[in-house]
Amino acid sequence: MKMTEHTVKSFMEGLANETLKGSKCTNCSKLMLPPRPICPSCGGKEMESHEFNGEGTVKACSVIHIALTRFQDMRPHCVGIVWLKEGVGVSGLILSDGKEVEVGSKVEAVFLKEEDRTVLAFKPV
Amino acid sequence: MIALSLHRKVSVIGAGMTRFHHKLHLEKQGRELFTEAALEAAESVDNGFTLKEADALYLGYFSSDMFEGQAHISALMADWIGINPKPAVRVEGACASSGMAVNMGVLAIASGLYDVVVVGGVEKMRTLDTSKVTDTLAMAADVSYEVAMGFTFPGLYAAIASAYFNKYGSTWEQLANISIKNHENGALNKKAHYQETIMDIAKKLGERKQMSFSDEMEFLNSALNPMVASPLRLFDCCPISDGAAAVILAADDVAKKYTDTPVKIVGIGQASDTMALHDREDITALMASRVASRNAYDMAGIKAKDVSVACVHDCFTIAEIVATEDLGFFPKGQGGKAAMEGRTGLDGDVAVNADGGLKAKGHPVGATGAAMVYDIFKQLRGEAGDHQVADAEVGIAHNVGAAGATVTMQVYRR
Ligand SMILES: [Zn+2]
Repeated sequence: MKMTEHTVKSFMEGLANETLKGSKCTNCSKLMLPPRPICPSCGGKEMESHEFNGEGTVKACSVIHIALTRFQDMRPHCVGIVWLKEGVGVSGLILSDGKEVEVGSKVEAVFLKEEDRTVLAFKPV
Repeated sequence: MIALSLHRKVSVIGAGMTRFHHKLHLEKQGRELFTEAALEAAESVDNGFTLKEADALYLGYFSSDMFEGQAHISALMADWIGINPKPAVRVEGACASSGMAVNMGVLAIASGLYDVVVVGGVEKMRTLDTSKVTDTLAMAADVSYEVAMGFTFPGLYAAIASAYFNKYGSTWEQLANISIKNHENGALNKKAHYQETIMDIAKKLGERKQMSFSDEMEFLNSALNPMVASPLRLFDCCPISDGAAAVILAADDVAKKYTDTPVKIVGIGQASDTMALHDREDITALMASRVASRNAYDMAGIKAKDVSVACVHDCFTIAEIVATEDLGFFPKGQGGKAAMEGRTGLDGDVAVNADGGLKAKGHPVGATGAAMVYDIFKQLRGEAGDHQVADAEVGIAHNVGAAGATVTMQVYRR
């Protein structure tokens, strides 16, 4: 395995290109997002790149009122855990005007470009 | 493979802690706080003990680096409590740092290498303002994959509450009830950050704002209890406190020299889970709490129902409800209801957070696991004072790192 793949950097570069790049274990087919070098299910070390399509449902969410320094100007903002159609969870901003969305709501990935990075977000569909 | 017993048994022979507080310690550094706790622990040993008799120090401190701009904190603390050249080790597992330090101390004695060790923890948090504290605590979560997307530390427990409410139909009132109970207990504990009931606080804050409240729920539903991360409001969250706690552990075969009433550590456990909450299929339970507690119960040869007094990790009110289920006190989805029925009160089936818990006692992150041991030590010796649980035989300390990526447990017997 090339150590430049399945890294935080490869995930972040994926976001910058408006893709959700994870990994797939070539041994047991487990999907992972973000990508990992070792399969947590079977211990396999051979990964291939896998692109997720970004559709899923909200598994949990919260409107953050006491925010991180970096998110002060978005306050209050909603964050959530989204369960993607492929069966993996991922954290992201929820674009809902600072309001809670119902658990189970359908959402799709959007990519918020900032000066020095891209933040993964989801919008209700 | 986990052995069901330790090769050499270990007991607690002394314990000390500073009061946890947001203002009291502003003029002190972490080193002074930990020294104060360690000296009190030494003085609590019945037949006398000087810190120099310790063979090693295991210290929990989550973020001396961010809070005090000081690293290499283990050597500094060994130096300050005067035990050079004895070895000192810093243990970092977020909010479970000193729970881990206790377990490491137990293992070090059980190995036969040492007879007596000092374990404990400290956190000096009030050096930073709330937003910088929020940033620092978030470092205990996955910074690249959770925090970068806007999750704060309260936000993660809010997500747990969101999923829990959705699954079990529970409501925020059950959370508020935990806060009310823990403040009632804290009001009886001289070491607690808040020695005030929710009604005491409602009266005090209400007078300032010219508002009056007829009961706790009216206050907790008011603007004086603002949202932090929905559904968690200010009084669902532990405060930001400074403080330290220290515990003296000794091998059973030498403990009798120091005291006739040691508190025996009869089981320990520790477990890990995914760093990111989103990688867990079920976020209404902490798998690491289940594993660590089962391992500790098995080693101790007890069942959950045998526990009389439990310090569980209630960094947020939802965490106490989930913990009382994960530790086997109540079935899944029933923890909130059980607490509402008074089953976790001082005279309940199991007294949960008799010392006020993290909510009222305070949560100087690295000190918390050792501060739990402090209360269990006092409870099992009948020395807990106004919040003493009658006939306490078996106690547990359950310490959680961040949203459950690390959990430690110990079972204690008098
Ligand atoms: Zn695999």
